[in-house]
This record gives sequence, C-alpha cells and structure tokens, in this order.
Amino acid sequence: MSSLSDKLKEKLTQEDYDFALQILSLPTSKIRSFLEDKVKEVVKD
Amino acid sequence: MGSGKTSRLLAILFALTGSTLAGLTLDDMINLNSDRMVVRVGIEKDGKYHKVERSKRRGYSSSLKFLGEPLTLAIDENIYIEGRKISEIFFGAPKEKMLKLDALLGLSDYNLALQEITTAPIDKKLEEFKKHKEDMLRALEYEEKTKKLEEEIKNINSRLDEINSALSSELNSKAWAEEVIKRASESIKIKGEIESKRELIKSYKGQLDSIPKYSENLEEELNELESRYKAMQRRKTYLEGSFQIFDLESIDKITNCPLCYSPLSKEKVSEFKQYYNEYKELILKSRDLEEALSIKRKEVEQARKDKERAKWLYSQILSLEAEISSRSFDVINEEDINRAKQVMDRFDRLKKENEELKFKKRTLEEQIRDYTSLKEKFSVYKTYNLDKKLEELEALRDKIVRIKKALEEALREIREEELLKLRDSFRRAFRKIYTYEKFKDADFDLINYKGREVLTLKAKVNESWIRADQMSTGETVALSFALLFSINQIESPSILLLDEPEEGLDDEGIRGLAKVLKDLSNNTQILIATRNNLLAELLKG
Repeated sequence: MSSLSDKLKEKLTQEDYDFALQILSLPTSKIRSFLEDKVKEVVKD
Repeated sequence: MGSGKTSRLLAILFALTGSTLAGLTLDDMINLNSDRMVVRVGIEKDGKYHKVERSKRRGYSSSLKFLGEPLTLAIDENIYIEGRKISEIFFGAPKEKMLKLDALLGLSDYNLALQEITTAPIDKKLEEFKKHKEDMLRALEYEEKTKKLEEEIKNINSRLDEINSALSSELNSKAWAEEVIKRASESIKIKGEIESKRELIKSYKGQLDSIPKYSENLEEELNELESRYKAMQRRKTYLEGSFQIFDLESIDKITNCPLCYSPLSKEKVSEFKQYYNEYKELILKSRDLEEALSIKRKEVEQARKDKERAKWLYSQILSLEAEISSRSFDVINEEDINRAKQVMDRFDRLKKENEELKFKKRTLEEQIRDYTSLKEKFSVYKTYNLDKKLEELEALRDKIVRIKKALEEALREIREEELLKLRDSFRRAFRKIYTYEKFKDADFDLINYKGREVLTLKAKVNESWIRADQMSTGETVALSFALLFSINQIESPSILLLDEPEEGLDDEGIRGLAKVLKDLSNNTQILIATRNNLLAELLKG
C-alpha cells in the first residue's frame, strides 16, 4: 500500500523510515525474530 | 495451463490484463511439463471483433499480440472475484453478516505486523543489562566499603601497638600498685577484724557486769536449811508416830497406856498434849521452811549458772585480747594508695580498650570477608562497554516505539480515508446493482464486536434503516456485491470473472445472487465458474 509508505515517510526520519520498511517487508512471523537479532547485534562484545 | 474452471478464468484474466491472482506468479500458471503458455481470446467491441493473443515463456516477460486489429485493453485486474473471498469477508452467524473491516481494507497484514512490532526483546535485555549495571555498581560500592574498613583496621592496629607499648612499660608500676593495694586491703581487713573483736570484748564485759553478785555463803545457807528441814521432818515423823497411839481429842480422859496399859500420870498426859501443839507448830514451820528451801535452791542453781557464764565470758575475753595482741598490720600512706589506684585504673582502661579494639577488629575483618564475597558475587558478569550498550538499546527501543506509533497513526489515517472512499463507492455501486424501489439508500456502520471493529451493512426502507439480519438473503447478497465492487474499486466493470460465487450461500442466497447477476449482466459481461446446479439453472434462464 503505497499511501502507507508515504504516510510513514512524513512521520519518520529517513533512518527510522528505512528501518520501518525493512520490518514491513518481512513476513509477519519473522518480525519478532528480526527484532531479536537486532538486539543481539547491539549487545555482542 | 490447467483445464479446470478456475484455470480457464485465470487464463482469460491473463489474456485480458496480463496478470494473475495475488500470491501467484505467471510462471506458476505454466504446466510443469511445459515452458510456455498461450491464451487467445476474442473480444467484440463497438460491433467489431478482435482477437488477442497473450503468451508467456517461463523466466521471460509475457507478450501481447493482436491477431487482427489492435485494441486498447483497459481492464482492471480486479475483475476476477473468488467466491472464497466473498465468504471470507463475512464474519459471525449467517444472519449477522458483519464484515471484518481490516480484511476489507486490506490492512489485516499490517495490523498483524503492528502486533508483532514490540519492544519486548529490547525491554528484556535492557532489564538484564540494568541489573548488570546495578550489580557492578554494588560491587564497586562493596570495594569502597572494604577499603574504608581496611583503613579503619590499620588505625586500630596502630592504636593497639601504642596500647601494647604502654602496657609493657607500665608493668613494673602495675606490680608495685598491686602490692600496695593488696597490703592496703589486708590492712583494712585486719583492722576490721580487730575492731570486731574489740566490740565483742566490750559486749562480753558488759554481760559480765550484768551478772549479779552472789553471797559466798550461799551453799552453806542452803545446807543449813536442808539440815533444819530434815530435822524437822524427823521430828514430825516421830510425833506422827506418837499420835497414832493416842486419840488426842480425848487425851484428857486417858489414864492408861494403850499399849502396855500402865497407868499414866497427869504429867505424862500433859507431855503428850505439848507434843501435839509442837506438831501443829512444826507443820507450819515446815511449810515455811520448804518455801525458803525452794527459793534458796533456785538461787544457788542460778548462782552456779551465772558463775559458769562468767567463767566462759572471761575466758573469751582473754582469748580475744590475745588474738588482738598477736595481729599486726601495715600502715600504708594514703598518697601511695591513691597513686596505686590511679596506676591500676590506667592499666585497666588500657586493657579494656585493647580488648574492645581487638573485638572491633575481628568484626571489621568479618565484614570485609562478607563484602569481598558479595563483591565477587556481583562481579560475575563481565560486560564491556555496558553504558554504551544500554544507550544503544535505549535508542533502538525508542526507534521501535516511534515506528510503531507512526504505523498506528498511518493505519488509522488510511483506514479513515479508505472508509470514506469505500462509503461513497459502495453507495454508488449499490445504485447500479440494486434496481428495486424497496431500498432507497445503502450504507454501513462500524461497530465494535468482541474487541474487533466490524462493518455492518444497512439499507434505508422509507425513512428507516434496516440491518442485514432484517433483509432477505438476496438483498444481503446485492449489498455484499456492491461492497465487494467498492472494495475492489470496480464500480462499473465491463467484464467480471466470478469463480464459484455461490460459496457460503444457501439456496435463498443463490437465488438472490442469480438475480443480482442477471441485473448486472445488463451492463457487464459476466463469466462464471460454478459447481452449483441451482445457480446454473437460474442463470440459464
């Protein structure tokens, strides 16, 4: 839905928008694990 | 391609629009044992006949060819409607056709995504890291406390050294002071004992003085009284013997001796009368003498006791005086005693302080052990750059929150906009599908049903609105079709491809459907794939 991405672009910074698109491009069942992987990236030594 | 009903409809869809159903690719439509598909359809428009050929090779783009005169194909790919889609958007009991709003607007997937976008994994890690940080801070705290305690122990050790040094140097003074105090104590004790003895002597002397003085002839006096009493008793006995012979009441009449009957002279008789008077007198004297004798005996007895007592007191006095004479004590200088006390006090204070400091030191050492153990416990987690990681996690969390909020807002706005469009489109589509007079207007309401927002159809009859459960199945079908067209944004399609549109409908619904389709077919070409005989029969007519 292109209007959704337009609206998101208005409301978010470019960085946040890119991240949001990344999330929305995933199948719903993969979103949670994607976020968990992001957490792992941050915390790894 | 396949040869079934659905395959044929899909083939027509492909030929007319170059597309296929959502979720399928064009290559999926090609048979496995082939590498291409070709579809040819004939189209009649404005009295002219056109033939269209569209083909697709696996892995390549599709191509369009006109066999004859070219034609502009401007057909919306949404002309294909699956019966499953129609029944899918209905929700609840057949009489209550409520339509899932987000499903209608195509927002279901985004709503699901919104639910999945969560800060939960970040929150969990943040909590864990914050706990780590707390633990690390606590470990540092314990380290600081340990250092302070070690400093305190150092000071205590220093003071203990001073005390031990002072105690060592005071040892001789202490020995002297102990000796002085010991002698002073003994002296006091002896003085006390002597004083007690003197008091006792005084008491004994007092008792001695209180013993009465007795006559030295007391025994002799008693003996004399006893002799007299014995003599008196003898005389009495003699006289009593005599009275047994004579009747003394009638002694004046006696002339002869009652024993030997010898004549008795008047002088003899008179003698016996005197004996009687003597006896009576003797009785009285005897009583007095008995009394005097008793008193004397008591006096003598008491005198003997007092004498014994006096003897004992005297011997005690002598013994005590001898003891007093034999005791001696030191005379200690008051100044020395005071100085000795001061020495002992100072020594005791130092000893006490020594003990207290040692106890305190043990306590502190124990505390240090506890702190060390706790510090080790809280230092278990070695996380590097913890603050930086916390910061990054917070940033990630904030980003997720922003995205989620933006998505919620965006979806809300889209829903509002789409609803507005849908409402207008629906009312226009309804006018086209429903050609009867009964319903003056159609609309829908949004209600919250079991936590979900759903859409309920309604129609205006005269001036009142009725709900879907108050309509016939056919009327509901007509309204549903209008809604479906609105959703698919195909208000006035030139052609419709319906795949088993009877799905989910009962016979009454099918009759209603047939009627709607017949009306629609006035302006729209409809191709239907159906397995329902009733529908097929109704549409044949």
